[in-house]
Amino acid sequence: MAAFAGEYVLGLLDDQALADAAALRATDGRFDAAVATWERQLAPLLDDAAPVMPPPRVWERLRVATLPTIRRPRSWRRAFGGFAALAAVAAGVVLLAPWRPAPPRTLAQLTLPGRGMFTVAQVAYGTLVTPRAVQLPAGKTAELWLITPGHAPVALGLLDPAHSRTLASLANAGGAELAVSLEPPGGSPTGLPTGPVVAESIIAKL
Amino acid sequence: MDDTAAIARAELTACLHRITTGDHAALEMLYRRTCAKLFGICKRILDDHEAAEDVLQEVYVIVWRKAAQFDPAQGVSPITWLAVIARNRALDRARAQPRRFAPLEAAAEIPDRAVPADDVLAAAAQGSALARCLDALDARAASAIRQAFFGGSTYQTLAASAGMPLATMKSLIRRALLQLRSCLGHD
Repeated sequence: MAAFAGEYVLGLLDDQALADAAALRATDGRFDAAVATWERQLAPLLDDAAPVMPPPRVWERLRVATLPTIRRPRSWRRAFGGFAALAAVAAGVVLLAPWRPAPPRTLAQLTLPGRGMFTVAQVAYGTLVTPRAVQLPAGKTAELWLITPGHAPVALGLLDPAHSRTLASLANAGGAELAVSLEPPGGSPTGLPTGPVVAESIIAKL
Repeated sequence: MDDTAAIARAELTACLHRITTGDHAALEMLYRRTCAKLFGICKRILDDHEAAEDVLQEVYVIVWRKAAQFDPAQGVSPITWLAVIARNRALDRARAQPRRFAPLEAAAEIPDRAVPADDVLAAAAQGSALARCLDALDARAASAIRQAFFGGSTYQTLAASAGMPLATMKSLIRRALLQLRSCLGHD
């Protein structure tokens, strides 16, 4: 079993054996412990990866994603939520609905006047940006920015006028602002918007 | 463990403890101290720079929410705990998008023992034990294990890159894992 746990941690198993190992982990505490031990004991091999400084935008996004004031519901909302649940139970509402993935919830709509729009929606695996009939001026790309008061805009990536793309979740960024600027191919060369801002929207609080 | 490593360990442990109370400044300090190490791991596993950035952010969001699960009593150093989370999240992402593993050729260019950084995992006593136990293994098996740990390797690719039959590679690795286990001592 120790060798199997080691093969699992090294990622050497084929699909079938990988599924077996995952099932074993969930049901056999000793196997799960053997996996954790291998992970811990082999971890010094990670020193072989040379440190690389991430670009500043990662901290900016992380800061927004973990802002305590945005993360925690206000107490009155919590209290009201509790009251509403109690009222629902009192009214005899049956809350046993079959589970299904949460439907997409719209976070923002970025309208480019006369050039279509991008919708920004929260889906199960992150935040999805979808173009609707977007037409960009020739030789320009659309770049998405996150703007929070007191901080420089954070680049969230280039938006394809024809395909949707997934971003790291913006679900906790309610109240902050999104903006789209027109940039040269490859995006802003400076890390800040250089072209005209063609669309703006406040992110809805979920 | 020398003094610098002991101090770094105590500081990171204190950061994780403060994070459990919702202390955002502690998260920032933890990030500043460890992001290069963890981003290096993400970049080594994932070919795609953007995916590596996403995973790095995800790792710290997990840490922000689950810092209470870090238990120094289990003998795990904070940097090891963080590095294991980063490796696992990066491997999950790479598996979800199979061509996202960093190419093996790139991995081969990196020397087996990189220059020590501030928070080297090997600073823990465990690191030197692992180095000693790996040195005692068949050199081909040790090199295959080092390569496989960053993901994207199968027995087939390991056998091909070492120029040996598949069955030989399998038995070589299994024997090496058992030998490693008895050398390291599994609790």
